[in-house]
Amino acid sequence: VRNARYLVCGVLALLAIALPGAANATHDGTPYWFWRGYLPTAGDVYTKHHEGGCCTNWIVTRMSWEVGTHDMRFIFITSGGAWHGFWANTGPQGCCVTWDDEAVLDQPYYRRSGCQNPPEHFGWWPVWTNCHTRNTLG
Amino acid sequence: MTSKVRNRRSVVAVAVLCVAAMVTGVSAIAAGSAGGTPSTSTAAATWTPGGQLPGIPLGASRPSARVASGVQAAVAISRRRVSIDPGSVREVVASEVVGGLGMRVITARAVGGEACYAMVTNRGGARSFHCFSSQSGGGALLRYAASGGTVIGNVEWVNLVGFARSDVARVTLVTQSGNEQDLSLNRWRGFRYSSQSKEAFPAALRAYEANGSLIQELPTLP
Repeated sequence: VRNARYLVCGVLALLAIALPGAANATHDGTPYWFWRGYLPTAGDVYTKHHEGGCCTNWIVTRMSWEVGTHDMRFIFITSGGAWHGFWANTGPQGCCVTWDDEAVLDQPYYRRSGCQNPPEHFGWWPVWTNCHTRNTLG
Repeated sequence: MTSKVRNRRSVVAVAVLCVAAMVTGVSAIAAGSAGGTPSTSTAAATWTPGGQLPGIPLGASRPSARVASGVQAAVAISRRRVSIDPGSVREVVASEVVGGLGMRVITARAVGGEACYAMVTNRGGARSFHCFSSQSGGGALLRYAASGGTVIGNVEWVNLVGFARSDVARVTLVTQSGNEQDLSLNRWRGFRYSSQSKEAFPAALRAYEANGSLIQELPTLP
Protein backbone atom coordinates (compact mmCIF):
# COMPACT_ATOMS: atom_id res chain seq x y z
CA VAL A 1 0.00 0.00 0.00
CA ARG A 2 2.83 2.35 0.89
CA ASN A 3 4.56 1.68 -2.44
CA ALA A 4 1.30 2.35 -4.28
CA ARG A 5 0.97 5.69 -2.46
CA TYR A 6 4.55 6.60 -3.40
CA LEU A 7 3.79 5.69 -7.01
CA VAL A 8 0.63 7.82 -7.10
CA CYS A 9 2.45 10.75 -5.51
CA GLY A 10 5.29 10.40 -8.00
CA VAL A 11 2.92 10.33 -10.97
CA LEU A 12 1.00 13.37 -9.68
CA ALA A 13 4.25 15.26 -9.14
CA LEU A 14 5.38 14.47 -12.68
CA LEU A 15 2.01 15.58 -14.08
CA ALA A 16 2.18 18.81 -12.10
CA ILE A 17 5.54 19.54 -13.69
CA ALA A 18 4.76 18.32 -17.19
CA LEU A 19 1.23 19.58 -17.84
CA PRO A 20 1.78 23.34 -17.55
CA GLY A 21 4.82 22.99 -19.77
CA ALA A 22 2.80 21.05 -22.34
CA ALA A 23 0.04 23.65 -22.29
CA ASN A 24 2.56 26.40 -23.03
CA ALA A 25 4.54 24.54 -25.63
CA THR A 26 4.06 24.97 -29.36
CA HIS A 27 3.81 22.20 -31.93
CA ASP A 28 7.54 21.63 -32.14
CA GLY A 29 8.31 21.90 -28.45
CA THR A 30 9.49 25.50 -28.47
CA PRO A 31 8.28 27.65 -25.57
CA TYR A 32 4.89 29.36 -25.91
CA TRP A 33 6.61 32.61 -26.90
CA PHE A 34 9.18 31.72 -29.51
CA TRP A 35 10.58 35.24 -29.14
CA ARG A 36 10.75 37.46 -26.06
CA GLY A 37 12.94 40.48 -26.31
CA TYR A 38 13.51 43.80 -27.98
CA LEU A 39 12.83 44.42 -31.66
CA PRO A 40 14.99 45.50 -33.27
CA THR A 41 17.66 43.49 -31.53
CA ALA A 42 21.10 44.83 -30.82
CA GLY A 43 22.04 43.27 -34.14
CA ASP A 44 19.36 45.29 -36.02
CA VAL A 45 16.99 42.36 -36.52
CA TYR A 46 13.55 43.95 -36.93
CA THR A 47 11.49 40.83 -37.59
CA LYS A 48 11.21 37.53 -35.76
CA HIS A 49 9.26 34.73 -37.39
CA HIS A 50 8.73 31.03 -36.93
CA GLU A 51 7.51 27.98 -38.85
CA GLY A 52 3.77 27.54 -38.58
CA GLY A 53 3.94 23.79 -38.23
CA CYS A 54 2.12 21.30 -40.35
CA CYS A 55 -1.09 19.62 -40.89
CA THR A 56 -3.76 22.20 -40.13
CA ASN A 57 -5.34 24.98 -42.17
CA TRP A 58 -4.14 27.75 -39.91
CA ILE A 59 -1.11 29.72 -38.93
CA VAL A 60 -1.83 31.98 -35.97
CA THR A 61 0.36 34.71 -34.55
CA ARG A 62 -0.12 36.32 -31.19
CA MET A 63 1.87 39.40 -30.30
CA SER A 64 2.00 41.32 -27.05
CA TRP A 65 4.26 44.29 -26.76
CA GLU A 66 5.28 47.34 -24.80
CA VAL A 67 2.84 50.01 -25.94
CA GLY A 68 2.79 53.75 -26.19
CA THR A 69 5.34 54.77 -28.77
CA HIS A 70 4.39 53.42 -32.16
CA ASP A 71 2.60 50.62 -33.95
CA MET A 72 3.83 47.08 -34.54
CA ARG A 73 3.16 44.67 -37.36
CA PHE A 74 2.10 41.03 -37.70
CA ILE A 75 4.12 39.33 -40.43
CA PHE A 76 3.14 36.34 -42.55
CA ILE A 77 5.56 34.81 -45.03
CA THR A 78 4.39 32.75 -47.98
CA SER A 79 6.01 29.53 -49.08
CA GLY A 80 7.35 31.53 -52.05
CA GLY A 81 9.09 34.02 -49.73
CA ALA A 82 6.78 37.01 -50.16
CA TRP A 83 5.54 38.76 -47.04
CA HIS A 84 2.23 40.25 -45.94
CA GLY A 85 2.16 42.54 -42.93
CA PHE A 86 -0.74 43.87 -40.85
CA TRP A 87 -0.43 46.91 -38.63
CA ALA A 88 -1.62 45.98 -35.15
CA ASN A 89 -3.36 49.27 -34.38
CA THR A 90 -6.74 49.78 -36.02
CA GLY A 91 -7.74 53.21 -34.71
CA PRO A 92 -10.80 53.29 -32.46
CA GLN A 93 -8.75 52.65 -29.36
CA GLY A 94 -6.43 55.55 -30.11
CA CYS A 95 -2.85 55.16 -31.21
CA CYS A 96 -0.69 52.44 -29.80
CA VAL A 97 -2.64 51.39 -26.75
CA THR A 98 -3.42 47.88 -27.98
CA TRP A 99 -0.97 45.57 -26.31
CA ASP A 100 -2.07 42.03 -27.16
CA ASP A 101 -3.64 40.81 -30.37
CA GLU A 102 -3.87 37.85 -32.71
CA ALA A 103 -4.02 37.31 -36.45
CA VAL A 104 -4.61 34.11 -38.39
CA LEU A 105 -3.99 33.25 -42.02
CA ASP A 106 -4.25 30.15 -44.12
CA GLN A 107 -1.79 27.37 -44.64
CA PRO A 108 -0.10 26.13 -46.75
CA TYR A 109 -0.03 29.47 -48.60
CA TYR A 110 1.75 30.97 -45.61
CA ARG A 111 4.53 28.97 -43.98
CA ARG A 112 5.91 31.29 -41.33
CA SER A 113 4.58 34.08 -39.19
CA GLY A 114 5.87 36.48 -36.60
CA CYS A 115 6.26 39.99 -35.28
CA GLN A 116 7.95 43.08 -36.61
CA ASN A 117 9.01 46.53 -35.50
CA PRO A 118 8.90 47.84 -39.04
CA PRO A 119 12.40 48.46 -40.37
CA GLU A 120 11.39 50.87 -43.11
CA HIS A 121 10.36 53.44 -40.49
CA PHE A 122 13.90 54.05 -39.33
CA GLY A 123 14.26 55.87 -36.07
CA TRP A 124 11.58 54.07 -34.15
CA TRP A 125 13.01 52.83 -30.94
CA PRO A 126 13.16 49.24 -29.71
CA VAL A 127 9.98 47.69 -28.36
CA TRP A 128 9.82 44.76 -25.99
CA THR A 129 7.88 42.11 -27.89
CA ASN A 130 6.50 38.67 -27.11
CA CYS A 131 5.76 36.64 -30.22
CA HIS A 132 3.93 33.34 -30.57
CA THR A 133 3.10 31.15 -33.54
CA ARG A 134 0.82 28.13 -33.55
CA ASN A 135 -1.31 26.17 -35.96
CA THR A 136 -4.50 25.84 -33.96
CA LEU A 137 -7.28 28.40 -33.54
CA GLY A 138 -7.92 27.85 -29.85
CA MET B 1 -25.39 72.46 23.25
CA THR B 2 -23.27 75.50 24.06
CA SER B 3 -23.01 78.44 21.68
CA LYS B 4 -19.24 77.75 21.31
CA VAL B 5 -19.94 74.21 20.04
CA ARG B 6 -22.72 75.51 17.77
CA ASN B 7 -20.37 78.14 16.28
CA ARG B 8 -17.66 75.57 15.70
CA ARG B 9 -20.15 73.34 13.87
CA SER B 10 -21.27 76.27 11.75
CA VAL B 11 -17.67 77.06 10.80
CA VAL B 12 -17.04 73.43 9.85
CA ALA B 13 -20.24 73.31 7.77
CA VAL B 14 -19.33 76.52 5.91
CA ALA B 15 -15.82 75.22 5.29
CA VAL B 16 -17.20 71.95 3.86
CA LEU B 17 -19.57 73.89 1.60
CA CYS B 18 -16.72 76.12 0.40
CA VAL B 19 -14.51 73.15 -0.41
CA ALA B 20 -17.41 71.45 -2.21
CA ALA B 21 -18.08 74.60 -4.22
CA MET B 22 -14.42 74.90 -5.17
CA VAL B 23 -14.23 71.26 -6.26
CA THR B 24 -17.43 71.65 -8.31
CA GLY B 25 -16.08 74.80 -9.89
CA VAL B 26 -12.77 73.17 -10.83
CA SER B 27 -14.68 70.21 -12.32
CA ALA B 28 -16.87 72.54 -14.35
CA ILE B 29 -13.84 74.38 -15.69
CA ALA B 30 -12.15 71.10 -16.57
CA ALA B 31 -15.28 69.83 -18.35
CA GLY B 32 -15.58 73.09 -20.19
CA SER B 33 -12.05 72.97 -21.50
CA ALA B 34 -12.48 69.35 -22.61
CA GLY B 35 -15.65 70.32 -24.44
CA GLY B 36 -13.84 73.09 -26.23
CA THR B 37 -12.10 70.81 -28.72
CA PRO B 38 -12.83 71.39 -32.44
CA SER B 39 -15.20 68.43 -32.62
CA THR B 40 -18.24 69.63 -30.69
CA SER B 41 -20.73 67.05 -31.92
CA THR B 42 -19.05 64.03 -30.39
CA ALA B 43 -22.03 63.51 -28.06
CA ALA B 44 -23.90 62.16 -31.10
CA ALA B 45 -20.90 60.25 -32.40
CA THR B 46 -21.39 56.51 -32.47
CA TRP B 47 -20.19 53.41 -34.28
CA THR B 48 -23.70 52.00 -34.21
CA PRO B 49 -26.14 54.66 -35.43
CA GLY B 50 -29.64 53.93 -34.20
CA GLY B 51 -28.20 51.08 -32.18
CA GLN B 52 -27.70 49.09 -35.39
CA LEU B 53 -24.51 47.33 -36.41
CA PRO B 54 -23.19 48.80 -39.65
CA GLY B 55 -22.99 46.53 -42.68
CA ILE B 56 -25.12 43.96 -44.43
CA PRO B 57 -25.70 40.55 -42.89
CA LEU B 58 -22.94 38.28 -44.04
CA GLY B 59 -25.39 35.75 -45.45
CA ALA B 60 -26.84 38.42 -47.74
CA SER B 61 -23.43 39.24 -49.18
CA ARG B 62 -22.97 35.59 -50.26
CA PRO B 63 -19.49 35.19 -48.80
CA SER B 64 -17.09 32.75 -50.38
CA ALA B 65 -16.15 29.65 -48.42
CA ARG B 66 -12.82 31.30 -47.62
CA VAL B 67 -14.48 34.41 -46.18
CA ALA B 68 -16.82 32.23 -44.12
CA SER B 69 -13.75 30.34 -42.96
CA GLY B 70 -12.13 33.63 -41.97
CA VAL B 71 -15.16 34.58 -39.89
CA GLN B 72 -14.98 31.23 -38.12
CA ALA B 73 -11.29 31.84 -37.45
CA ALA B 74 -11.91 35.37 -36.14
CA VAL B 75 -14.55 34.09 -33.73
CA ALA B 76 -12.30 31.26 -32.55
CA ILE B 77 -9.14 33.28 -31.92
CA SER B 78 -11.13 35.97 -30.12
CA ARG B 79 -12.74 33.55 -27.67
CA ARG B 80 -10.32 34.14 -24.81
CA ARG B 81 -11.21 37.84 -24.93
CA VAL B 82 -14.82 38.05 -26.15
CA SER B 83 -17.58 35.62 -27.09
CA ILE B 84 -19.03 36.57 -30.48
CA ASP B 85 -22.49 35.62 -31.75
CA PRO B 86 -21.59 34.18 -35.21
CA GLY B 87 -25.13 34.78 -36.46
CA SER B 88 -24.78 38.53 -36.03
CA VAL B 89 -21.83 39.06 -38.39
CA ARG B 90 -22.14 41.85 -40.96
CA GLU B 91 -19.86 43.05 -43.70
CA VAL B 92 -19.17 46.78 -43.84
CA VAL B 93 -16.70 47.20 -46.68
CA ALA B 94 -14.27 45.18 -48.81
CA SER B 95 -10.86 46.26 -50.03
CA GLU B 96 -9.38 45.68 -53.42
CA VAL B 97 -7.17 42.61 -53.84
CA VAL B 98 -3.52 43.67 -53.93
CA GLY B 99 -0.52 41.39 -53.72
CA GLY B 100 -2.96 38.50 -53.53
CA LEU B 101 -4.57 39.92 -50.38
CA GLY B 102 -8.09 41.27 -50.02
CA MET B 103 -9.68 42.36 -46.72
CA ARG B 104 -13.23 42.83 -45.45
CA VAL B 105 -14.20 44.73 -42.33
CA ILE B 106 -16.87 42.90 -40.39
CA THR B 107 -18.96 43.78 -37.35
CA ALA B 108 -20.76 41.49 -34.91
CA ARG B 109 -22.43 41.43 -31.53
CA ALA B 110 -20.76 39.91 -28.53
CA VAL B 111 -22.98 37.58 -26.54
CA GLY B 112 -23.41 40.42 -24.03
CA GLY B 113 -24.63 42.75 -26.80
CA GLU B 114 -21.51 44.85 -27.33
CA ALA B 115 -20.75 45.95 -30.88
CA CYS B 116 -17.48 44.46 -32.07
CA TYR B 117 -15.35 44.50 -35.20
CA ALA B 118 -12.77 42.38 -36.97
CA MET B 119 -11.26 41.83 -40.39
CA VAL B 120 -11.28 38.76 -42.61
CA THR B 121 -9.19 38.13 -45.70
CA ASN B 122 -9.99 36.64 -49.07
CA ARG B 123 -7.68 33.76 -48.15
CA GLY B 124 -9.53 32.63 -45.05
CA GLY B 125 -7.51 34.68 -42.61
CA ALA B 126 -8.65 37.07 -39.91
CA ARG B 127 -7.78 39.54 -37.21
CA SER B 128 -9.32 38.98 -33.82
CA PHE B 129 -12.49 40.77 -32.69
CA HIS B 130 -12.36 43.87 -30.51
CA CYS B 131 -15.38 45.70 -29.13
CA PHE B 132 -16.06 49.41 -29.30
CA SER B 133 -17.45 49.70 -25.80
CA SER B 134 -14.33 48.37 -24.16
CA GLN B 135 -12.21 51.19 -25.50
CA SER B 136 -11.76 54.66 -24.17
CA GLY B 137 -10.45 57.85 -25.69
CA GLY B 138 -11.39 56.48 -29.05
CA GLY B 139 -10.79 57.90 -32.48
CA ALA B 140 -13.30 58.44 -35.27
CA LEU B 141 -11.67 56.09 -37.78
CA LEU B 142 -11.28 52.33 -37.85
CA ARG B 143 -8.93 50.94 -40.44
CA TYR B 144 -6.98 47.80 -41.20
CA ALA B 145 -3.74 48.52 -43.00
CA ALA B 146 -1.76 45.83 -44.75
CA SER B 147 1.40 45.97 -46.77
CA GLY B 148 3.69 43.49 -48.42
CA GLY B 149 6.39 42.69 -50.86
CA THR B 150 8.90 40.15 -51.99
CA VAL B 151 11.70 41.10 -49.58
CA ILE B 152 11.07 41.78 -45.90
CA GLY B 153 11.75 45.42 -45.14
CA ASN B 154 10.82 46.61 -48.60
CA VAL B 155 7.16 47.62 -48.97
CA GLU B 156 5.92 47.12 -52.53
CA TRP B 157 2.20 47.54 -52.00
CA VAL B 158 -0.25 48.91 -49.48
CA ASN B 159 -3.87 48.00 -49.00
CA LEU B 160 -6.23 49.49 -46.45
CA VAL B 161 -9.90 49.29 -45.64
CA GLY B 162 -12.05 50.74 -42.88
CA PHE B 163 -15.02 52.79 -41.85
CA ALA B 164 -15.80 55.93 -39.90
CA ARG B 165 -17.89 56.92 -36.89
CA SER B 166 -21.30 58.50 -37.42
CA ASP B 167 -20.07 62.08 -36.97
CA VAL B 168 -17.64 61.77 -39.88
CA ALA B 169 -18.82 63.28 -43.15
CA ARG B 170 -15.59 63.15 -45.13
CA VAL B 171 -12.49 60.95 -45.07
CA THR B 172 -9.30 61.87 -46.86
CA LEU B 173 -5.96 60.17 -47.33
CA VAL B 174 -2.69 62.06 -47.20
CA THR B 175 0.00 60.42 -49.29
CA GLN B 176 3.72 60.22 -48.63
CA SER B 177 4.19 63.01 -51.16
CA GLY B 178 1.78 65.25 -49.23
CA ASN B 179 -1.27 65.09 -51.48
CA GLU B 180 -4.64 64.90 -49.77
CA GLN B 181 -7.39 63.08 -51.61
CA ASP B 182 -10.97 62.22 -50.77
CA LEU B 183 -11.92 58.60 -50.26
CA SER B 184 -15.41 57.67 -51.33
CA LEU B 185 -17.64 56.46 -48.51
CA ASN B 186 -20.30 53.80 -48.75
CA ARG B 187 -23.57 53.98 -46.81
CA TRP B 188 -21.82 52.84 -43.64
CA ARG B 189 -19.01 55.33 -44.21
CA GLY B 190 -16.78 52.48 -45.34
CA PHE B 191 -13.70 53.34 -47.41
CA ARG B 192 -10.76 51.64 -49.07
CA TYR B 193 -7.45 52.55 -50.64
CA SER B 194 -4.55 50.73 -52.22
CA SER B 195 -1.37 51.62 -54.00
CA GLN B 196 1.66 50.00 -55.56
CA SER B 197 3.43 53.31 -56.06
CA LYS B 198 5.65 54.59 -53.25
CA GLU B 199 4.69 58.22 -53.88
CA ALA B 200 1.05 57.31 -53.37
CA PHE B 201 1.64 55.25 -50.24
CA PRO B 202 -0.37 56.62 -47.31
CA ALA B 203 0.97 58.82 -44.53
CA ALA B 204 -2.30 59.53 -42.71
CA LEU B 205 -6.07 59.39 -42.83
CA ARG B 206 -8.15 62.39 -41.87
CA ALA B 207 -11.76 62.51 -40.69
CA TYR B 208 -13.83 65.67 -41.06
CA GLU B 209 -17.19 66.75 -39.75
CA ALA B 210 -19.89 68.00 -42.12
CA ASN B 211 -18.94 71.58 -41.22
CA GLY B 212 -15.40 70.92 -42.43
CA SER B 213 -13.66 70.77 -39.09
CA LEU B 214 -11.03 68.13 -38.59
CA ILE B 215 -12.00 65.46 -36.09
CA GLN B 216 -8.97 63.24 -36.27
CA GLU B 217 -5.77 62.59 -38.17
CA LEU B 218 -4.77 58.96 -37.91
CA PRO B 219 -1.19 58.14 -38.93
CA THR B 220 -1.38 55.34 -41.47
CA LEU B 221 1.99 54.22 -42.72
CA PRO B 222 2.93 51.85 -45.53
